[in-house]
Amino acid sequence: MSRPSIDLALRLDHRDVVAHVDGRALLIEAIRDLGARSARIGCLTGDCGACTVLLDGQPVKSCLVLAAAADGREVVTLEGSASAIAETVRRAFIAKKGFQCGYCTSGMILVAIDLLEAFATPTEADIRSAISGNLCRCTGYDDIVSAIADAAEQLSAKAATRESPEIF
Amino acid sequence: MAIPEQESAANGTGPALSHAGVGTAAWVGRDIPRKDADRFVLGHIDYTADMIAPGTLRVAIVRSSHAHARIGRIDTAAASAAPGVVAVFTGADVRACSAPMPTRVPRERFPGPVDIWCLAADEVLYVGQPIAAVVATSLNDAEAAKSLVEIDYDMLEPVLDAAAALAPGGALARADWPTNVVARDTIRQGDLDRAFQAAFRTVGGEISFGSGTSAPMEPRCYIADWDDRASHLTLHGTLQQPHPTRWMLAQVLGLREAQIRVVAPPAGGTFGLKMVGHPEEALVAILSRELKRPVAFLESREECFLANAREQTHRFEIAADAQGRIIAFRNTIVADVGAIGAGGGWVMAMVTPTVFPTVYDVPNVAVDAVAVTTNKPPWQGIRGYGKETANLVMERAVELIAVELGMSSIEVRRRNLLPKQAFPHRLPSGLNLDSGDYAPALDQLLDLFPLDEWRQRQQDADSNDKRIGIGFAFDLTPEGASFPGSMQAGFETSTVTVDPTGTVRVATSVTSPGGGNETGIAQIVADVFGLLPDDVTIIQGDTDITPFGTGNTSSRSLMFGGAAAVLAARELKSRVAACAATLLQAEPGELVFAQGRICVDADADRSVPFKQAVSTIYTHAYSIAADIELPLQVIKTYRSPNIRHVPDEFGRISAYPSFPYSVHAAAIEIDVATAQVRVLDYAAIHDCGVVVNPGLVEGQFRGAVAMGIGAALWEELLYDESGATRTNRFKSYVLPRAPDLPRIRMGHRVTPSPFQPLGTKGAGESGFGGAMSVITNAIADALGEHGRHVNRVPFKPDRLLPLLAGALS
Ligand code: FES
Ligand code: FES
Repeated sequence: MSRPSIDLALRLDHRDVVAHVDGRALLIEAIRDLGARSARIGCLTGDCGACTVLLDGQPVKSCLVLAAAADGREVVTLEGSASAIAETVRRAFIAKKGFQCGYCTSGMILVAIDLLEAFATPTEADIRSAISGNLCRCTGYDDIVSAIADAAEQLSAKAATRESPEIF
Repeated sequence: MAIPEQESAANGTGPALSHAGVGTAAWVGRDIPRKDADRFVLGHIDYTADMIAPGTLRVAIVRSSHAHARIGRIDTAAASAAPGVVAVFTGADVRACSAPMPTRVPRERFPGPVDIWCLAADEVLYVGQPIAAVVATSLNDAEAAKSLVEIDYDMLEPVLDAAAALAPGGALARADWPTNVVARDTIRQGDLDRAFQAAFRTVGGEISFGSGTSAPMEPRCYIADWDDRASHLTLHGTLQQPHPTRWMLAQVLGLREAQIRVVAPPAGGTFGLKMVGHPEEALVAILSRELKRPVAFLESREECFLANAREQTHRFEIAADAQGRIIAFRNTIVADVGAIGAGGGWVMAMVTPTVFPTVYDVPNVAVDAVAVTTNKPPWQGIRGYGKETANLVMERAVELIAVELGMSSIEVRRRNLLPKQAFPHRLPSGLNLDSGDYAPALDQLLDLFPLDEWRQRQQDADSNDKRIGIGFAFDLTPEGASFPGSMQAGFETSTVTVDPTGTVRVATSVTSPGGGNETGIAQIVADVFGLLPDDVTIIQGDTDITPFGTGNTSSRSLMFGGAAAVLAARELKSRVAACAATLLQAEPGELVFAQGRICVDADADRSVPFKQAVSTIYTHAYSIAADIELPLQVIKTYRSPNIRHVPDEFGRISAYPSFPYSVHAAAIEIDVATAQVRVLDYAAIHDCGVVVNPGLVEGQFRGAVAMGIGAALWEELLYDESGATRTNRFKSYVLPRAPDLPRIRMGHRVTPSPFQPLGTKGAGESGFGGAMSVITNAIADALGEHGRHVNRVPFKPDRLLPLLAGALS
């Protein structure tokens, strides 16, 4: 039984992990085996975005990355994503019903956070284009778009309050 | 999580969303967030695939590469010796240790034998049919060993379309059947010949539908764990119907139901795909019992595209009098339902004929339907379940007759819609429409959709470059399917328990596909007790703790499972009221349950917390509560009074109790050079009776519309000349993406169903057919005069280009 296997060391959701994985394994398979289950498998062909994670801060479809290629790098999944923007996006997804079955939600939220980190005032077209690599079969996207737009508005409002001079 | 106080943003709802008969409607009609919403956005929901424990064996399935053949020798030696492989099973192995899978439709109704094994034992009926199972310690090893299984095939002639299936003396799709015809239906009302002779105008047409599939984001997955010491099986799976799956497994494995626990974890979308009857449900169970280890199957996306559905052709004729009244409609339907498996997907073909003439009052109707089996993959349930094609054909027929009459199709609709006072209304098929208010819904739609503006834009567009089309369509979606002879026949059951601390537990037979029905059920039960939805826990999808029922099909959750829960909750409420009456020295009839308290109606100061009344019952069972029946648990089954399984005078039954409808308008633009279609504007009015949670209903309706737009424009399963699925990835089976869709504007009407205790109708599936139809009508409109030649859905560019060429010449 000789199967190519490799040692993998990476930072996964702010923890250092090491694993001995099948050399053929994809990043999505390796991190799910390591317990990061919020990254979902929808196609393994790079088409659905359910497997989206942040690799060194950039959103990637983790089914398109070999586990071996992530050695020594940092992976953040939805479960490890924590920031003011992340929190706002999460609240907005709840308030605007930006999910139904939730299977696409990990990818959608990570992509939304990435969009809002780069770009505080996206238009509806910007939002639709940002999530164009992520399929959702339940919502028809409207509620997801509304959630992201709502999060953008709240963040801008907060930023505006911060910038306005203290009155008291 | 705090519950926002804002009321529904739904258009045109207002106070009509409140309802009668349940008590104070504090929660019904409120757009409250989903139960467990935090877990969804934190990524803390575990779907079935997340429950595959380390050490679980994995299955890879060797599938037939031929559409029709006899299986000869299978050599598994090399695969068995491959790294990581634990066992290789064939049809012969399965036959030696199990029984055939029972069919959803009783086997006597088929024209020949239907012994369905989870691995083909003798004859293969479609490309992709499971033949052998490679079980290994990892999925990669199982997959790698698949190609080492050698199979000899003796070719049989495949039947790959309906024409070949019906050709006299042609090949048979199943060698042991005398015919390819699986089922027929003949529906008659009135005198067709006379009506067509007397007609002022008649017109006919043909429409065929390509094959489609529901493609939920979560693929199927089953995990079987046989405990050999206890002789007990646990199956976790992507299962819409856990109880029917347990019934199926009991027969396949020769076990008592009590030896099997079937669990359906949260589902990543189903849309009909995950109904009972997939071979892998039985396969993992058999493998686990034989190997005495847990075994999991996780479907690949490619395998998911083996789910087939909808391919059919309609030839119709419609007749009208000089006043624009539709006086007759006839239609012949031929459906290619692929191979027959254990599931009931093919039944969709027999639902289609029963929906005519949808929302219109047509005195003379004839529908003839035939479903033929071929050597393509079996039909699997898909949203619309056959109703979508009926709606599309009817809506095309209305457009065509409007052209003949020289009237606007909106006006023709108005003259023919069933009026509100005509309900309940018997369709020619025997279905009994519960309620409807169609014409005002059309008016409401015209307020939402700027028709004149779009007509102007249409005129202004350069028709040699871009063509704008405007469409309208009604959609009638019969819901709550309850088929006689099917396991089971369509009732649902809920067990409601009031626990000692005063919280409430509802264990219900209806499951959730992920749409949020648990939140809706919590709302209606919370209203009965005057509690918060957070005080009500909903338990679903576990045959050990939820009562027997269908599960999730045909938008039945609130309609049936919710109704059963309300009936049970009301009975418990009266018990708690009896105790409170003693505590408050009042009559039970004077008590009001609200905001967690029970108070005397006329004297709000005399009240007792709900919790306290409940606690008193538990702690004073021999004194104050001596007369109150224990436990505080009631189980109720709901059967709809609008189902009739006894044939009426015309020999027809009525298997659907509930009839939500919607009316849609869309503006589309076709790029003449590329035949790409863009949807520019979309509006719809939806009526599913009393709305329990507007946000949930709207979200699902929009999802249905998006799916219908996809089915009209992009989604089609294609097969090559050998019968193999060519569209096996999202790159070739194209789902709508966010930039492909406009914002879908919607409004509600509320026409309660008189047959359902809360006045609700099914919601969730409704809208899909309307979206397919409205896009089709808009495309025909964009083609102008040539639009009458529109005859095949979906409108992929290769089909639309010749139509455009015709329109331009
Ligand atoms: S699983 Fe990676 S894109 Fe679908
Ligand atoms: S919520 Fe189900 S796939 Fe998006």
